[in-house]
Amino acid sequence: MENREVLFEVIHMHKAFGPTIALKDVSLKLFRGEIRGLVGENGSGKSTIMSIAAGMQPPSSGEMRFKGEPWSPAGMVQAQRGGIAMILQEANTIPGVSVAQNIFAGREDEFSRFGMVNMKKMYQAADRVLEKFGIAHIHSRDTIDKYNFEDRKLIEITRCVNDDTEILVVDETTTALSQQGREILYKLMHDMAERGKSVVFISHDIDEILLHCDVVTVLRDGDIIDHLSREAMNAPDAAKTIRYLMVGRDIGEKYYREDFTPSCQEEVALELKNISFGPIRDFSLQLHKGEIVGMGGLSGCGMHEIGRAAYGLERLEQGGVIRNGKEIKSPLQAIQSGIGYISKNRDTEALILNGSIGDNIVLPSLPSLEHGTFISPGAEHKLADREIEAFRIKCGSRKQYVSTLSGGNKQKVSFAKWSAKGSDVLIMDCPTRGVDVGVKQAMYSLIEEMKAQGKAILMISEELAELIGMADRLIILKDFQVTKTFQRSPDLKETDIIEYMV
Amino acid sequence: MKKTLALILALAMALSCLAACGNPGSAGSEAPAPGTSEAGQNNPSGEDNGKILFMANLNAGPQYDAYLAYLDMVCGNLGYTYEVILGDESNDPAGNLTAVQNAMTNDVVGLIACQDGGLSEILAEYPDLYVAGFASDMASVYDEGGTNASVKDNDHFLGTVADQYVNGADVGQMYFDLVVEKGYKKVATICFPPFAYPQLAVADEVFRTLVEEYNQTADEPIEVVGEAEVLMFEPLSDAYFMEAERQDLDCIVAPLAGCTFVYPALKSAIASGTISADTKLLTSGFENDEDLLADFGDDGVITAICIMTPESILVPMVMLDNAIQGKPFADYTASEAVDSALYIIDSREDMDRVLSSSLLGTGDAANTAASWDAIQDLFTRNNESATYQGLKDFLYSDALTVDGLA
Amino acid sequence: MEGKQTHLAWIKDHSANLAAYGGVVFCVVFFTILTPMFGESIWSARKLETLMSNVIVTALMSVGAVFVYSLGNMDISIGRQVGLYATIMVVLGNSTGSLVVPILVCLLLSVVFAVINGATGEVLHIHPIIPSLVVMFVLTGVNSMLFVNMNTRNISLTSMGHEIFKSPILMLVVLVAEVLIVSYLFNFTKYGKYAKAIGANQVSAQQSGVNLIKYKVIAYIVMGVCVVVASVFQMGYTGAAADATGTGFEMNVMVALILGGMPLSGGMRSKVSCAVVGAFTFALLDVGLPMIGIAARNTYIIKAVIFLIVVLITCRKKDGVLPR
Repeated sequence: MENREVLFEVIHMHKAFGPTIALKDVSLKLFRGEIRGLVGENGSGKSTIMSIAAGMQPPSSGEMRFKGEPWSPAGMVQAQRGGIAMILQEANTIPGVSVAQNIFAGREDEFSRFGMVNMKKMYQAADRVLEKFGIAHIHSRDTIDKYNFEDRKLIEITRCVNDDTEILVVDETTTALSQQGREILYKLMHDMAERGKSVVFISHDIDEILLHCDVVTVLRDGDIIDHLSREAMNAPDAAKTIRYLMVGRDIGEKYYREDFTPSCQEEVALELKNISFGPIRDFSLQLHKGEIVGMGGLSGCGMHEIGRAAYGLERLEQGGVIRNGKEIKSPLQAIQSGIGYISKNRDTEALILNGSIGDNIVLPSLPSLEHGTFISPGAEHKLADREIEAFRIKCGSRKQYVSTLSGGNKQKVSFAKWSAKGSDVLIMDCPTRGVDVGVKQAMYSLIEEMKAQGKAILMISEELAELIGMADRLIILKDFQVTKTFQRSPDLKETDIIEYMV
Repeated sequence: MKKTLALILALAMALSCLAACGNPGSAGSEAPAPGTSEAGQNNPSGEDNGKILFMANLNAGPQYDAYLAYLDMVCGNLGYTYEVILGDESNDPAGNLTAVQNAMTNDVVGLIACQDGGLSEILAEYPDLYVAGFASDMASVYDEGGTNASVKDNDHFLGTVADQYVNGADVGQMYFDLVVEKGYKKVATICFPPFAYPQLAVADEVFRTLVEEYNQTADEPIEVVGEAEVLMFEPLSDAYFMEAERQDLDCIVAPLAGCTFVYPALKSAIASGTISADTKLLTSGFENDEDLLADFGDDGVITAICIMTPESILVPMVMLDNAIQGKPFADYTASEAVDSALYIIDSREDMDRVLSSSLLGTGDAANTAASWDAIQDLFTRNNESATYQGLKDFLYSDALTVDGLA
Repeated sequence: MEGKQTHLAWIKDHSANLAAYGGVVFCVVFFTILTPMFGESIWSARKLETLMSNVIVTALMSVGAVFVYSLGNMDISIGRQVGLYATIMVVLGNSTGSLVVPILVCLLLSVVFAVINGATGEVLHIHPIIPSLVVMFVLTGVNSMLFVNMNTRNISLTSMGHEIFKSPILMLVVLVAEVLIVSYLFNFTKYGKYAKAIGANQVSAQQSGVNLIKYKVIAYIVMGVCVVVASVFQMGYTGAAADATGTGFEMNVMVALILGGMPLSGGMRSKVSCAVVGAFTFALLDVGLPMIGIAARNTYIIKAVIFLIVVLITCRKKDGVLPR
């Protein structure tokens, strides 16, 4: 093993964001031909290392060596040209232009003569690239807006990776992809490893890591805790070992709810009465106090839209959303009647990234903090601090900008908003998207606690496991229609459900 | 890195222009000037009598250059410095006042104003400041019920020199005479809007009346086509010449800065063959544009230009200096608006003379007919018996006309 | 080590404010030291008066405009609004003999413009600058029609004295009062907090229960009222209005806010102080530079350079994640 060629090396790297230390004295060797898994909780530094390698930010101290030479890229583009490409979690395509222009963004020179871009040549080249990656259903001439999130992600991958790419960093990309999309990505990763290149695979999905990686590195609090070889990963309790290493303590078996009987109170907390809008026709749902209703399906099945409608964000053609006998027609009415909504688009919709944690938490609660017109900063701070404390949000202070938080802590902030407001009905769209094990566990116990307090929860998710684990009642949608409703039961298996989804 | 570089560049720019601006004598703002050395035995230029502000209504062009060259010479001899300030583009009272306020330093003693907006506020704000008008008829001062009517009787306001004629009727007469002299029979007129330039409307009216009178006795009458075209301070549009009746004009009478506002459209209409190639232009304004100047004369498109002689700025300078020195003219009783000296350039020879030997044409105060030697006795400080009438006589003497040029 | 780092971080976080405040402090110190060398003093009563009269209109407008800029919007009809209000005040002031009626009329109009500027962008899904562009053109037309009908280019207040509006004390009092009121609205009520939230993330604000149209219109109303107050001083200083009154004021507001460190994208970093700091910086340059022997017409280039420096410092891009 030691005689393999070291492709990339990080030596004594240190990175701090203000008072927060993201990496402390980390050293890491990456060999040719390996798929390296990087796991760790949010904020453990796993994305930070690779984002430094890919030129997104400079290290505070320490050095890097790539192919034996010192490596200090000035930006992502330079890093990509040098051979290190990184695929990010969030969508990174340029809206409003063609697929081909996206694929060759920043490389127009290759198709230019005398400053004029030869579009025909570019389209042809783009089609070849798309075919090579096995996604020929995407056409280079179409505008990128025609494609959904998953396709755009794939397009982005084709943009990052080319023949010169030596190291491919895949950062939490698979959460956005369907099984089919994942297969394409996995194939790409294995192809690269076989060709003597190297892949770094960052994921929260431990099963996925165990399946595809040659070696796994576990990080915690900016430190490398351990490396697991392929042999160790083949051990039967490998997943548990990794979780233990990540969290640093035994998180126990308790993950999802441990009771398996559906339960709720009599009182209806929220009712969707025969609502129709867009492709959704005549959908009805009663959500009771103390009940968790799960809603699952494929991404385009209409469940996200129903969640929006329940919060008054969609204009209904028929029917109504009713709470306490009153109809909900706008988010404002929804909030006033005690409904909270956590969008699946955390960074673009749920949170104000360029705002402080405090500003975000108190935003829906401002009307209730008013005395006349006056809103006391003291009251605001008290409320924000209370929630930061309650959710154990890892931050310097409430003044810290949300954009500087890790994914899990961001999600905690969006939960805290509604907890601060004291909402009794919560509509959560993909509440654990991009969140790691430890935080997931905390979120699940939080949701369970809310249920115990008598809150009504509509949990929309693309992860069947958590729906089965948490919901009292599980509604499965396909093509905007309910195909099946399951009651909570210990015998419910993913395989029983999937047939109603696809 | 780039940002640092940009920052350094910006700093360098800031420093260099601070250095340049701080350097006295640059940008024509301060004495001493070329004119000083030849003249001024009576007043050693070491004298420091203070600063004159010149609120100009132009900021470039041959006229502007001529003003500054002449001010250099006169101020140098009198021991003043001067500074050009930019009034409000639209003559807004508050804007003009702000311009004066910002430039006001302890040594400012006088103001030459080419704009009348805010005059009463300026005089109220600075009661010790002497103000003389120039290149403006100051209608807001002299018209009945004008916004600055109170200024007229203020002893610190020293009257004004209009750009050409105070009275529009004289302008109408001047252009009428030119039309008759050149023998044009089919003419059209162009004006600025009457609310802004009421005297231009008067000029147009008088011009038409004179034509009517002329037609009663003439063998061949003059036809004035349509109403005057009103330009909203924008150059004449090409569409103007699309009208059939404007396609065989003998001439266009445009008593405004026609070199800029009318000439381009006219020239392009001729070039495209839309209108008769013999359409001529009688106008005002002066540009140092070779093509335009080459197109002047009876063979060209522009056959006459009437323009204020830039040396007319002598009048506000005399009035200010007398007042500042405490020696007003004995025969000066009340402020008034007077006509300026005038160049009527109506032949190629005239133009060549202006270009070769006038202050206006060369921008050099050595070429003025009103040299320090010629004017120094107009100041009461040099000549106890100098009179207001004497100043006006000099202003309207042949010396300041085209005929007076060498 | 850590202490130093936090200091550095603090400086980095506040660099926009430091640049803006630094600019105004630098100007004050610079001119205090240099003007006596030229036999002048920036601290003379007369110059302070000049400074105040220079700064007042822009400052009054900019303070209100903070609300609109915090939305990430801008209103380019401000200048023409000032022109119209000044004209109305002179005309109605002369016919009624007091400024009460004209000011009420102007306030009413400002609300109408606020509704147009604030709501139409949201309702019709067009960029919010478009309605203000339309308002600007309409008002330009209305104003020039008014003056053509009156057959003059400027009119003045004859029915009453306007000396009171030339008092620097009154200017200061009104400015301080306006700053206090707007600061209260901006920092301690939901009107300001919502405006900032909308500027920072409109979708998130909406999902947090902010009625976009309502609070955008309110932001424009706050600005409108401030513009009316500014118009009183614009008109009152000379007691006159002209067809060109107010031309280019929207640019003065923009320059003042940018010089004051206001982010053009709006959001949480918006501050009322930006308006005051920026307006004073600019006015100090206007008044101070000629006092140290720099000809008034050369001040433009210096102001441009200083503007460039401030913008370079304040508008640094934080998220260097490219290519996007």
